Amino acid sequence: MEQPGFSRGLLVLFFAFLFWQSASLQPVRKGLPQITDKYAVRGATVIQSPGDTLRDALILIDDGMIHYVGKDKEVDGAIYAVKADSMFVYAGFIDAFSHTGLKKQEQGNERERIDDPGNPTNEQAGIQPGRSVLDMVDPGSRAISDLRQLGFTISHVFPEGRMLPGQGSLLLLAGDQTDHMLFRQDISVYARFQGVRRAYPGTVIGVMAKFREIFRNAENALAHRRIFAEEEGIERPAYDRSLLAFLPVVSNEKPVYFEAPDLKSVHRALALQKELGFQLVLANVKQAWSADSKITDANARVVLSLDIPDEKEEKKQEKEVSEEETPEPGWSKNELDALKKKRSESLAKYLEEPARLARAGMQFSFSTDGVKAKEIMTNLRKMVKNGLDEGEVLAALTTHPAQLLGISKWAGTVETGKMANLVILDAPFLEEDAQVRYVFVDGDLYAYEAKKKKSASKKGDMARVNGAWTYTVDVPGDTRAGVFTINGEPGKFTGVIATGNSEETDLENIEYADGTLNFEFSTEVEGTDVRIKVALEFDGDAYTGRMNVGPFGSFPMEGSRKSPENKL
Amino acid sequence: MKHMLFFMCLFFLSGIELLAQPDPGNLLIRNGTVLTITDGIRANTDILVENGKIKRIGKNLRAPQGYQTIDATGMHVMPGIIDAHSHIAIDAVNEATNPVTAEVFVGDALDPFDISIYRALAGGVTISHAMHGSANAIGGQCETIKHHWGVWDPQGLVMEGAPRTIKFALGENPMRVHGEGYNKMPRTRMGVEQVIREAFEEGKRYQAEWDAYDRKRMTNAKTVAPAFDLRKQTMADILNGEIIIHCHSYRADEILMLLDVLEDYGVDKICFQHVNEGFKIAPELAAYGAHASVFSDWWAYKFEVYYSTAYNATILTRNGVVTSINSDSGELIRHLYHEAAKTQKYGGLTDDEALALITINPAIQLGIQDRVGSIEVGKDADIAIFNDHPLSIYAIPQKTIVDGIVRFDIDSDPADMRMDVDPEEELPAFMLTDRHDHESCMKDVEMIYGLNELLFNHKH
Repeated sequence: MEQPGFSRGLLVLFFAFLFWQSASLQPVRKGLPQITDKYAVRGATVIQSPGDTLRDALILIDDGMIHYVGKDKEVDGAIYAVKADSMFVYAGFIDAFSHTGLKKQEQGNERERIDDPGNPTNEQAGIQPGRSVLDMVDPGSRAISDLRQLGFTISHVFPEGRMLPGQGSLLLLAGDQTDHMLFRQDISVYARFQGVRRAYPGTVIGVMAKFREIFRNAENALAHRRIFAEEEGIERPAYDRSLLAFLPVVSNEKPVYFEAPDLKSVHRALALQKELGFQLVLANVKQAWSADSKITDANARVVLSLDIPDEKEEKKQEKEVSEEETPEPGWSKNELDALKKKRSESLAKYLEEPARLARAGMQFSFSTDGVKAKEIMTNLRKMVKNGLDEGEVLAALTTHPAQLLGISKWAGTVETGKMANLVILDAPFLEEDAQVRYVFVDGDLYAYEAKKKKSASKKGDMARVNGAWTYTVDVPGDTRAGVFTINGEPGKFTGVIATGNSEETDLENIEYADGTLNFEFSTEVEGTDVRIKVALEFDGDAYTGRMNVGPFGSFPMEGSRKSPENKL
Repeated sequence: MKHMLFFMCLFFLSGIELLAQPDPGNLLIRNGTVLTITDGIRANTDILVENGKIKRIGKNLRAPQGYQTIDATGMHVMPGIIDAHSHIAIDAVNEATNPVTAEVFVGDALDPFDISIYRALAGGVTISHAMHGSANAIGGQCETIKHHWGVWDPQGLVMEGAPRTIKFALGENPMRVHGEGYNKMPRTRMGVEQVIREAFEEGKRYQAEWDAYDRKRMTNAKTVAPAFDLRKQTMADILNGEIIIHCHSYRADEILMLLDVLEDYGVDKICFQHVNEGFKIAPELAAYGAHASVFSDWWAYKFEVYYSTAYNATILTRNGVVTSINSDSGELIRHLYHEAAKTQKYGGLTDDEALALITINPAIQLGIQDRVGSIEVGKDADIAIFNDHPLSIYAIPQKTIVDGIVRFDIDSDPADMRMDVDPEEELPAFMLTDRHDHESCMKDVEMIYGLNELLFNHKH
């Protein structure tokens, strides 16, 4: 009875392998006539919800829905069998806050000169709480497929912008058109403590004042509209899009997602909530110590950032310890030691924060904003290493966000009647070498080939960094571009970097190991010599990383191998 | 590495336990020379502090069980120093986008992790007036903060119950930012006056509008409310006497101009800041009841600040103007006692007069003189202990106590006292971005003028 389905399955998998060559992942049915929308996942260990496991189970999926989860059931008809013996099935992960899949926007109007900076238009001031994200999504974006490949099936996606960038919508992470991806439209309002350049509100104090004013006037507007509807001879209410978008916030129908990565922002958002009274979700939180009781009192919800301090830093610290014999000029060894101690204490505190919040009884979700897809699982493991319970991690990826977003009825667990959003791995999801093999999004199957373990020879690895590389660096309000070149071998690397004006500067302290390139150079900024440190991570012929310009800050840098044809 | 983590865990667990039991602020300071400011000097005197308040002042007091005892034998004990003009511990100083921004409030941007708080404590300063900058004719509202170094909640810095204050600014700064920068009013000193007058007019009209609404609503519940405007509301609050104005000013003529404006609008709570030409109009200031908060000897950083004298504080004081000496700087705030002492060289103020410039007088200017500014029974236990008379050049602060809790102790002063440290920071680069001297009054205006002007022009 199973035989026909199984053989078709092999055929389909064969095509999946074929596609693997060109693009790493494609939905199984893409480009093929759909054979069936019935699937049977067999033999797997199913974690139905955190702490609730069913071994050697069968899951039946039909037309995008889970029809059966259990031990045994007769299966007939044309059905596609997913052989998942010794694999692990979880509910598809839910990303509670992100900008996933937004189209690359042209550089905004940041450089536009505003004639009357005290009275900018709402657009100029970044006050656009009514904007929907749906027109901004590129369904083919790599960010979407990258997240999906990790097992994420739903993202709560927001527009980018300043103080009030727009509204969040729930998108399924599959589909050729935004409308096909749409699960819930405009369910939340996004707020930030981010002023606009050269116009009001320009600073956090301006943003706080403006937020109060918008909120109070939305309250007024709500009363005004009520009176207008009931009475004759009342002046008409203002039709202001930003006010209109705030009405559901004032009437407690939509939550405000306040971006609060740092402790001070957490407290500021809580202060506004206490004063005005609205449903508050603290988004992208990285530190909340000292705010627990206020968060509870406000009945606020927390979405933790998955972007946590880098472990690379620990390597660096060890390196610095060995350089202690020659402390930096002007610093005593005692002082440097104290600084390092403070930094490592701080690092520990950040890493331990998710575990601490869980112990305090906080039910948090996760945000994928600001973190590279390939770091997400590593960072989750890091949280576990620092005391976070594995069940809590799963809850923060499934049941908690489902509850936060009001979709528990349809998502967050592997149960009959739920949407067929599943992730299937060849090991428990937090294990170091666990690999995602299948993802179901709304009943669509995506299959992934098991990757071979890393075995790149050292020498080959080294050679990969040699050559010319283009780069772009995003500095505030501008993008700088140029080329740098690396040649040599470990310990003997040489290189130059050219800025847009094709001035070449020698690179120093070039180091390369395990796909990570570090180098430094000096340049003149405003008549002062500034030491610039660059750290890049290579992935094939492309890389991403950061350029640290000392006191001026650190900026994202990315680029790729300069193709030979362009070499002049 | 595992051992390291283990020890870190231990460290944090013990830290959490300490936090769980907040210090009630009970202690006994024994046998010091107490400079009360308002009631002379008391030799060999004890101060008993209970729940953060001064409970008793006298000889041979006994500490109840569990009270910390501080031996102040041979030391001078004075009230915590108060700085009536600073910009430390806030993340935003200027909302420099409009000539009037009365609605913004630096209390919304408190930064309890600013190391300047600790440095100020190390100079015996327990309270500072965190002010909006001087980019606008009417800047934002300010916050009076207590230097509770170690609290993680920004609200923990707020001095609960302190009156509201607001920053005004006359002269070159608002003219340059809005006149030259945006080609808007005010371009001249005349314009500054009119911007302020117009703002008061708007406040008046706004108040009238809401009063009319409130009256109408008594008879008809379905009356539509006027638009809510926090800026105009704040101006109305000033007119209602709820907010003390602190006005950045240098020249005598424009100070008299503002007094005329305030007289027209019936506003009497005014403290002039900097007020370098105050010595020319000290009787007029005294007659109006205006206060003055000055530098000891700092001027000539721009054209309107050339006509100045180090005798300013003395002349103002001797003419009956409530005068203080302020820092406006994360550096000067560390040695305001030196700044006060300069008035003994320039003008020969008495010890009490000189110390009043940094204690009870700034307290009066901030409207908190009933709670702080002197050592009196019932007042907050904000106390600075020096190894010598604080007006001596050899004086070094030993301990600084805020609300009965020791927040600075020279005997327990580790090399790195920062709180919220970037776990990925490059060492030791943080110092470069962590300076608080000499440009703070025009902070956040750099987006208009660019880095160069900011670095090379002082703009207090």
